[in-house]
Amino acid sequence: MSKFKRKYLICFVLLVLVTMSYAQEFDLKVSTIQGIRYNSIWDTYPGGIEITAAYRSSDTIFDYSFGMSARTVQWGTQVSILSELSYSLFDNLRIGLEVQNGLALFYTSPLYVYSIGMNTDLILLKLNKAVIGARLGLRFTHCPKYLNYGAINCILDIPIGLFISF
Amino acid sequence: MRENSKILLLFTILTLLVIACSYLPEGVHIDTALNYQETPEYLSLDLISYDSDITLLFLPGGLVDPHAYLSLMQRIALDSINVVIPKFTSNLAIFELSKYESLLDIYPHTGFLYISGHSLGGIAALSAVAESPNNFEGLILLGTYPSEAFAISDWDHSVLSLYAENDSLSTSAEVLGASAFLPEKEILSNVNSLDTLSAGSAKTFYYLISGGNHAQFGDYGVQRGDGVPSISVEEQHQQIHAAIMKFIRWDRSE
Repeated sequence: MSKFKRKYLICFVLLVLVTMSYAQEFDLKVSTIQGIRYNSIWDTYPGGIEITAAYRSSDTIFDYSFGMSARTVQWGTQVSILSELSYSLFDNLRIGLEVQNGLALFYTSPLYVYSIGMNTDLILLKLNKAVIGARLGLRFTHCPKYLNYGAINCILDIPIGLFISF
Repeated sequence: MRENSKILLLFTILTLLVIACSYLPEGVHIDTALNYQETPEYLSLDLISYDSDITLLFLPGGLVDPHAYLSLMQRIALDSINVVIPKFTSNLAIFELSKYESLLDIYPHTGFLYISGHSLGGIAALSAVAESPNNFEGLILLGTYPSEAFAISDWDHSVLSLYAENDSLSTSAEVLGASAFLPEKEILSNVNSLDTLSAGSAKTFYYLISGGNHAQFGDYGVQRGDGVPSISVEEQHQQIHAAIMKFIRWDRSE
């Protein structure tokens, strides 16, 4: 394992432990993704599916989420570490800014990939121990080194999904 | 939810996805005589100077990046066959068995359509033929074989099945052992013998790539569990290319 990968893994484990210890809620999200642009071309196409699992903690103003995301994407499959800062506009509506850093999964050398996006979460149902809601977002994803293999290495898409928090 | 269950859930998701690693292609240079296009749905190759009426729909092997087949497919495109390589979710054609239908809507083609596939892509191609037998003029299988679920033994078009001597993932015995699920078997010792064969009922032509292996049907390095080839990628691609062109020409001359 390279020095970079070892440091990356150690940071990830530390952040998971810290976030878990402060976490108040656990979010599980499933999204279908609609592609709207690739490289410099506007076009609609199926963008894949995504599963996200994250711990969330809150202070008086913001919610902080930290977790993992896995999705199918133009270049195959990728897994990412995600962090999100969100703000509740109303009781049942919050907006968030999300950053993901991860790897496109390839033998024998995965490729670095990152995403920047914004999300809107609408809480649909409040149960005793869980909250169910819908999510709509806009996200830019870039896998810089995939350009060595394919022509499409950056995409803009719209994740549309459901989440459950407990 | 208990902490243990949450961690288990995260671990399961991670494990499922980590085993979905795809093989990346070796670098490939596209010949300037070809028009090469990539969209989110497919890759396509066609000769700039010639408007062909034959299209080959090629389905990549499971967990193999579709660009890994460009070096082989551009040889075929340079012989005036339009080539289309669909992209699949997670590079697994087996998850989208009916994608060829929507692809044929968005990829403009006229004339004769052949379908081909490598490994799991070959299973998807067999499924497409079983589902829509009248859509295709012929089937070309690379390092793969059908099961009873995808039997097309009563199909009225011919099949070319290429298998490799050192392929440990689809062995010669497995390929030949599944011949009951394809049209009448005929083993070719030399692809040139197709020139002397006259038209008749649908057949499955089997041709062994001596010294070849599974991964060299594409161009993506070493695959786990595969045998060691005794010929180069270049040599294997030359043999595959020659066999495919002989088969399509024989089929079109019928």
